[in-house]
Amino acid sequence: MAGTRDYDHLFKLLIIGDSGVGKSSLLLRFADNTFSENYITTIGVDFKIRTMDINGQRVKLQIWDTAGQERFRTITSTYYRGTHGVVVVYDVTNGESFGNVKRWLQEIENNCDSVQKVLVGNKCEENERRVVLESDARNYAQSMNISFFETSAKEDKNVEPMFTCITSLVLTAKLANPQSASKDQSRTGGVSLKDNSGSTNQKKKCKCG
Amino acid sequence: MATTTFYTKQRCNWIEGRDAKVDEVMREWMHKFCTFQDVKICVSTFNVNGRSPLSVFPTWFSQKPEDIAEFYAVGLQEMDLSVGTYIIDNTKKMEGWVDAIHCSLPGGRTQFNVVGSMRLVGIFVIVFQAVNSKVRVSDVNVKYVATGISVLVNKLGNKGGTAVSMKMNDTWVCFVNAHFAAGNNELERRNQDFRDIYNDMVFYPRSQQEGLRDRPLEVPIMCLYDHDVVFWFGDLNYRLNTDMYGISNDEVRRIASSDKFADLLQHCQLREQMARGTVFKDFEEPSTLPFRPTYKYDCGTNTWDTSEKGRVPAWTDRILTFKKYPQVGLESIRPMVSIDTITISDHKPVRAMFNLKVKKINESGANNVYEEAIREADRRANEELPQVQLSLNEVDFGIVNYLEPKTRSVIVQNVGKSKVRFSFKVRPNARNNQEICEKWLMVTPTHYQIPQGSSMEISLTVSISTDIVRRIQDLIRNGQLQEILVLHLENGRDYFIPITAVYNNSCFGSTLEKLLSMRPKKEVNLIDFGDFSENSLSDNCPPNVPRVIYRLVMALRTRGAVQLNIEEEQDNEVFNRIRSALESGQPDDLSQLASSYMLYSALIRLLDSLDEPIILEGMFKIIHKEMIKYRTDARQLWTVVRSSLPKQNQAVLELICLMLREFFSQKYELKDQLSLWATVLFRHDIQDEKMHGMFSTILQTICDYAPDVALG
Repeated sequence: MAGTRDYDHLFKLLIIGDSGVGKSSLLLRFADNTFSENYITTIGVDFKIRTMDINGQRVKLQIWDTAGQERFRTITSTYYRGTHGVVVVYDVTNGESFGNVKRWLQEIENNCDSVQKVLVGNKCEENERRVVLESDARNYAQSMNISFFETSAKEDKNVEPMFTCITSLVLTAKLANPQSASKDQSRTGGVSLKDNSGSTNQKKKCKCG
Repeated sequence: MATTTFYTKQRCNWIEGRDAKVDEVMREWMHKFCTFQDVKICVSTFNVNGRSPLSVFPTWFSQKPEDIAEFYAVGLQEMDLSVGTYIIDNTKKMEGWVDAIHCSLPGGRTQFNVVGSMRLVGIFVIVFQAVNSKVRVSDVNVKYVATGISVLVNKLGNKGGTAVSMKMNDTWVCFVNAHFAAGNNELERRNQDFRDIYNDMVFYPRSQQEGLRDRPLEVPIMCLYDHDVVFWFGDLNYRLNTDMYGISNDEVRRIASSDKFADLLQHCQLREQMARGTVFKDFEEPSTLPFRPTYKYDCGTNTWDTSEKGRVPAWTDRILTFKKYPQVGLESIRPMVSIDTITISDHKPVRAMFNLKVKKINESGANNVYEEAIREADRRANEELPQVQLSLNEVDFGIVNYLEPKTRSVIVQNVGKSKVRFSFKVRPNARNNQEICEKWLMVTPTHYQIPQGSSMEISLTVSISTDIVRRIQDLIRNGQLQEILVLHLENGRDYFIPITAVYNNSCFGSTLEKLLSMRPKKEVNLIDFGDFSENSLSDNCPPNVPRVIYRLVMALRTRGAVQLNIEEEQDNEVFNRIRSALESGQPDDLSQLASSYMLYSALIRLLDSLDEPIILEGMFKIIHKEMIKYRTDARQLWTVVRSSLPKQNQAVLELICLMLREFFSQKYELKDQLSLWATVLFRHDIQDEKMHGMFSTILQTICDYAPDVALG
C-alpha cells in the first residue's frame, strides 16, 4: 500500500489559568468526551492527543494541561517552548481567576515569541453563581485582540468549537508563514509523538519472510 | 481585530493505509459499514511434469452441487518443459491445459469465465469465476517472478512464481502459484525462492491512485501482505528429513503406503522451517494433510518412483493461506485432498475448498464511522500513555537539623498499560543547571523502569551538611527550605513534587551578628534568681562574644584540658542534645551535659558552620596575606587583628586563643590540635600544605602571646 501518512500538521497547545478553573476538565471533555465530578488538582503537566480535520487537513494536537498553582509558576513557564497555541481559562464564578487573566497573558508574552491565543470562561452552566459577565469578558478579549468563548466542560458546551477555533488559528498562521512555523517546529519541547511526521515520499518496505 | 470564526468542517473520507491506528479501529468496526458475502473458492495445484492434458479430468474438481465454488484458482508447474519454449514462446500447450481445466470445472466451460492468468514458461496460474457469481471483481493484476535463473544450464524461467491479484467486492485477494528449487539438499535455495517471490511480487492497482489525488508523488504499490487474503500454492518441493532420523527410503515408502502415512508429516522440511519462522511467516496450512505424499510416482500409476534415483516420497505440493488481519473471515470448508485418480504426472494434484467472507464497503457508512474511529484511535493512544500513581504529592520533612539527615520515601506505582520509564528532570531555570534539585536534597534512584503493575520506592533525604549550613540563609525562603522535583515519564507527562523542610532558630548556619542578637536571654537570667554560679557565668560573658560560643568555651574551661580525650567517638545523639541546649538556652551551664570531647566537637562544628570564618580573608585576601607576612610576630599579628577584624570576630578569636593557651599549658600534646583549629578559624584550602603550615604558625604565635602581652 501507499506509504503511511499520519497527519499533515502536529501542533502543541497549552492550557493555562488559575488552579481550579477547569483546565483538566476541558481537556478531558475534548479528548475523551467525559467529565469527572471528582476534583483532583493537577500536580505537574499532563497531555492528551486529539486528531482533527480542519478544512480537509489532518491536524494532530498534543494538548498540555498545566498546574495552575502559583508555586509552580516558574516550572510551568518552561513548557511554553514550542507551543503553537495557548488556551487561557478562567472560571465565570470566580472573579479573581478572571482578574488574573491579565497576568497569564503577560506570562505568555514573557515566554512565547508568537502564539495564537483564546480566552475561555469555563463553568458557564453555573448561572446562579456567575460573577463575571460575558459582555465584560468579551469586551476585554476584543480589547486584547483575542478570540473568546464561554464553555461548560461539565455540560459539553462550546468545548469542541473552542478547540476547533484555536487549532484553526494556529493552522492559518502556519500556512500564512510556513518558514517561522518550520523553525518553531524544530524547537518543540515536551513529548515527541510516536507516530512519524508526514513524509510524502515515504513508502512501506516489504517484509522479508 | 480578531473575530470569532466558525470554520466549516470538511468531512474527510477514509483512506485505508493512512493511519495504522485508525485502520485498526475501522477493522474492528467493519460490521458497522460493511456487508459480507460468502464466497466459495477452490484452489488447486498440479505439477504436470510436462505432459499434454487429457481433454477433461472428471475427478479433478468435485461435481457435487454443494461443492461448486464461485472461483477456481489453479496453479500448474512444469506445464511446458519443451526445449524450444525457452527460445520461442509457444502457447499451444498452455491453451490445451486451459481448455482441459475449463472443461473439468463443474458444468463445463460455459459456466465459468477466466478472470486472469499469468505464465512464466511452465509455471502457470489461472483464475475462473462462475458466470452466475454476484461478486464484483475489479483491479485484476498479474505478475511473475523468476528465481534461481541460471542461463548457463539453459534453465531460464525454470523456477519462480506467477500471481493474480484482484478485488472481490472490496476484499483484496491474491493467488500465488510457485515452483521452488528441487532436490533433497536444496532447502536453503527453496527458502530463497520464497523470499524472492515474496519480496518481488508487487502490483500496481489503478483504483488505489484515486485516493492519492492530494499526494501525487506517491506511487501506489501493493505487496503480498497488503492483500486481505493470499492463497499461496504450488510445487514447493520441500522434502522429508527422514535420513536424519535413520529411516530408510524403503521404510518411508512402506509407511507412506500404509494407513499411518500422516506420521511422516512431522519430518517435513516446510513444517520445520515454518516453525522456525524462516519462511511463510503468518501463513497457515491444515495441521494434518489427510492424503499420501504427492510425489514421486511412476507416471500413469500410483506406484512410488521405480527409477534409478528412487525418490523418497514427499508432500511437495502445498496450499497455504495468509490473512492480513485476524478478522478476515476465511475458513477451509472441505478437507484438503490429493486426486489419486489423476495419474498422468509423477505428482498428484492437490485441491482445497475455502469459504471467504468478502466485504463490500458502504463508503458513506465508512466515512460516517471514520470520524468516530479517529477519536477512538486517539482515545486508545491516550490510554496507552504511561501512567503512575504517587503515594505522596508533596513531601514535608518538618524540622531538619544540622548534620542529622532525614529520609522520606515516595511510592511510585505503574497504573498504565505498559512499562514506565521515569527520570527526574533538570530544571532549566534552576540555580544549579546541572542538578535535578538543590544540594540539601538527595534523590535515589534518579531514574528507573517500572514493569506494568509494579511499584517502586523513591528515597528522599534532606541532609544539612557543613557546605549547606554555611549558606543556609540564602537557601531559606519564607522560613523554609523549598524545592520542587520534576518527575518525568518517558513519552508522557511530568509530575511536580514540592519538597519542604524547616530549618530555623538554629545557631548552626548563622552569623556572629545573629548569634550576638540572641543575648536578650542574658537579661532573663539576670531576673532569674538562680544559683550564684549561673549568674556569675552570665555576668562574665564578654560584650562582643555570642553567648552560645561563650557557654561552650566556659564549659570546656571548667572541665579542663585533662578531661579532653580527642580519641573519643562522635556521638550524634549527644551532639543533638548539645544543639538543643544551645538553641533553647537550657541549661545555661553545659559542663555537666556532655563529655569534654563532644563539647569541644560541638564548638568546632558551630564555628565551622558560620557563614564566614572568624578570621576573615578581607578584600583580595589582604588580611590573610598580612598575617602570613607577620606569622611569627605576635605584636604585628594582634595589631592586624585589632585593625582589620570586626569587633565580634576579635572577641571570639581572643576567647578561643585564651582557651587554647590554657589547654596547651595543661596538656601539652593538645598542641597537635593547632592544625585543626587553623582550618576552622581561617577556613583555607587544606590541600595547599605550605599555606596550611603558615596558617598553623600564625595561630601558634597568637596563642603563645595574649594580646595584652603582645601589645603591651
